Amino acid sequence: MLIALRVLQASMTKEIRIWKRRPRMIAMIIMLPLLFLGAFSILMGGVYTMGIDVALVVEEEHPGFYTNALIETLSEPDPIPPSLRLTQMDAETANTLFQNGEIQLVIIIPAGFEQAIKNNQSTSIILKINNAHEDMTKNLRMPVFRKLDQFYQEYLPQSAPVSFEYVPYQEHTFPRLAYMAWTLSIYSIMFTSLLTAGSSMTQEFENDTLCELIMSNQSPVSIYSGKLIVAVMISHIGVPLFFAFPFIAYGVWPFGNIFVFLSLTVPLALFSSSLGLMLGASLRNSVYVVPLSSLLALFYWFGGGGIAPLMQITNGLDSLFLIFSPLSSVYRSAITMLISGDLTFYLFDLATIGVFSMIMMIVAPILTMKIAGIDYHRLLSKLLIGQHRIGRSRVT
Amino acid sequence: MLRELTAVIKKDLRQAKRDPRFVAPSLIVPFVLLLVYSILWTSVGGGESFYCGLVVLDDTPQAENMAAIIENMRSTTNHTWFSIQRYNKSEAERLFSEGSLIAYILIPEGFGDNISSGEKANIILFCNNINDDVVKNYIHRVEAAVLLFNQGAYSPDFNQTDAPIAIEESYSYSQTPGNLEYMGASAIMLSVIVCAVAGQALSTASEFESKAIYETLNSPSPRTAIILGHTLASIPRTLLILFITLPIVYISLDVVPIGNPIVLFLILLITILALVPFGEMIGIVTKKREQALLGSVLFSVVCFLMGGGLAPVAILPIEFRIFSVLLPITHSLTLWNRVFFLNTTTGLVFGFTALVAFWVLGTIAVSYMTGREVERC
Repeated sequence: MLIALRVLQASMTKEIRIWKRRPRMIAMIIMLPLLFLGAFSILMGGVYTMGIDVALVVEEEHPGFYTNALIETLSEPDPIPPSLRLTQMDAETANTLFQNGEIQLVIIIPAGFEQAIKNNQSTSIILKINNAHEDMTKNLRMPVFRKLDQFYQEYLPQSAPVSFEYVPYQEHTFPRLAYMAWTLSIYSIMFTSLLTAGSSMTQEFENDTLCELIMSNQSPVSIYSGKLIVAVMISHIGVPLFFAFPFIAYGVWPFGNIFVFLSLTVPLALFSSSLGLMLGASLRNSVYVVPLSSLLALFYWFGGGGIAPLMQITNGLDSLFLIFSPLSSVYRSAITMLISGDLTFYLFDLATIGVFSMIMMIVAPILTMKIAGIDYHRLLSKLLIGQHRIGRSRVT
Repeated sequence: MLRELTAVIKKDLRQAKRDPRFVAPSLIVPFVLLLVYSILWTSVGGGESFYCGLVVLDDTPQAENMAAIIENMRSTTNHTWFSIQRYNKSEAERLFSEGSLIAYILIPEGFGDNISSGEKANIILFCNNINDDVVKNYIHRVEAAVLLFNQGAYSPDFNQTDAPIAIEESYSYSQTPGNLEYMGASAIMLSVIVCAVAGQALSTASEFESKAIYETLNSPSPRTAIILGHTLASIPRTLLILFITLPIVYISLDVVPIGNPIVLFLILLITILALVPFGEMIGIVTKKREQALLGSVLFSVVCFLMGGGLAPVAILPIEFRIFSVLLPITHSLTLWNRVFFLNTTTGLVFGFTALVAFWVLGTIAVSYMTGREVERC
């Protein structure tokens, strides 16, 4: 038992030394999830904070109370994103910009608009929309509907018999990018542990050192466990950055506490690194391990509710697969804790990931050994032939 | 020069034939992203259907009209607005508090009477405000339903002719490409991007690992011929991937390009030319295959996300679009998706010019970096 522990310690020391020699690799592994966050910040941050650029064409020759009120309503910043950033221009310029794809939405207030409203006649506003993508189309149209509803409620109350009231479930509504940053921390842990363990295995194959390691007459379980533990340690290095970003950008800090978070993520990292170990042993080449690790973790980030909460899920087999996976359970508990401090599912989810990670931790070294498939006979013959050759060269 | 160029091309193609593993990431990356995205858009809410409960406590015709609008309203584009399920009040409250229902709409008792008596009638949206995006999506849809009711545009016709202010919409595309169709088109481009970048990065890193690069660089061949040879060799190597991705995307998503095939081919060609120098730079900097691959995946996927692979960057405000414009992949995706879904040649000049500029600048940068490597060895 004591020897096994010493081998474990030695294996860990060796792994730490190897990773210290590969600082660029570690930097790239930690950077990938951070760059994802950067990419999403640029992709969504602009639309959510600044709004979307819109061309406004006023064809009404005598704009009065209603026309000006509509323009004012449309251009007011909106607490529900995205806001519309209006630029007034003539019809021809707007059309050219729209045709060239430089502007995606044109709002036209037609001639006779003012008079029609004053006389209780029906009129319309015209929208020209770039419908290059379904979700983009939705995000371009919906704010206009909202603004028009606001205009009805405020300036045409006789034509707006119905309104709506919004009752939020929680006191705080966190910005989407803060939500994504926190969930990306879980992605980061999963990806880093998968890739670190996987890369550690493929390196052994690529450098031809695995055979020597196995032939060293030490417990393979301890050797592999050393790799797992180091992978778990490395996987948590980047986590503080994902919490620092929303704090710096929005001044928001999540609910819950770090120990509950770690109690979920450490078993997750153990589970993922065990998976990485087997992945590395079976693929034996980083060409496959790198994209697979990155995308497997991305799959569970999307599927676990990293980008949109799982409660929006409609029924379906794929949804069941996502909801009941042990990895999604970590996402569920971590998300509910970070967003509202709620720990309803915590014990159940902790037990689920705990059991799975324990099983994987026991099974992974054994399976890795089997998958690695060292041909001892060939290896011994190679070693013996090598020694024979050395002996002969010494004689000659 | 021409002889050396041909020799480099032949050598690179032979190397690709001997070790075709560079194809793996070019297939894994787009197809896993496609799978993830398919699940996201078909199951986890997204634009297709937002799961929402509906509780109707009023039995007047007005309440039924409101409920019918909420249940049946469709966007004039092709996505469903809500996936509505009716509940009684206690069940909706229970599911909502348990977290099984993210939102529900309540049409309260007296809704119809209020309208008849000229008072304001309210519908109530209960929403689990997990983040501002969730809130936005539900509020926008409920507000659209309220607007339709106020305009007298009831289900099933949703006729707005008598509305005080109707909305007339016109679109630039005859049919709105669905999120999945868009992703399918982007996945084809992504496979080309990854193949161009990762293929070249792996090839360069392999040459560093085997030290063959130093022999090549110290040979009398001009450096321009070597770099140009690498770039030209990557064209057939990268285009090969289309024989796998195109049929798969067509079979799985039934996505076919609408635009001119020659223009689409030119976009692919200029994309490869612009991206291969970046792959070469990654290979030169990392010098190891594993790191070169990680660097290529990192570069390709992050630029793909930032450049409008999931949704067009055209909607971004100008201050944020500047970041995207600085990436070559943004121009490739913009051109590709525009011509893929729209038979047009307008608005393409800027993208083509930008990609040519990236090619020239990238080649100069690679030339400088290889020069430094020659000095070092």
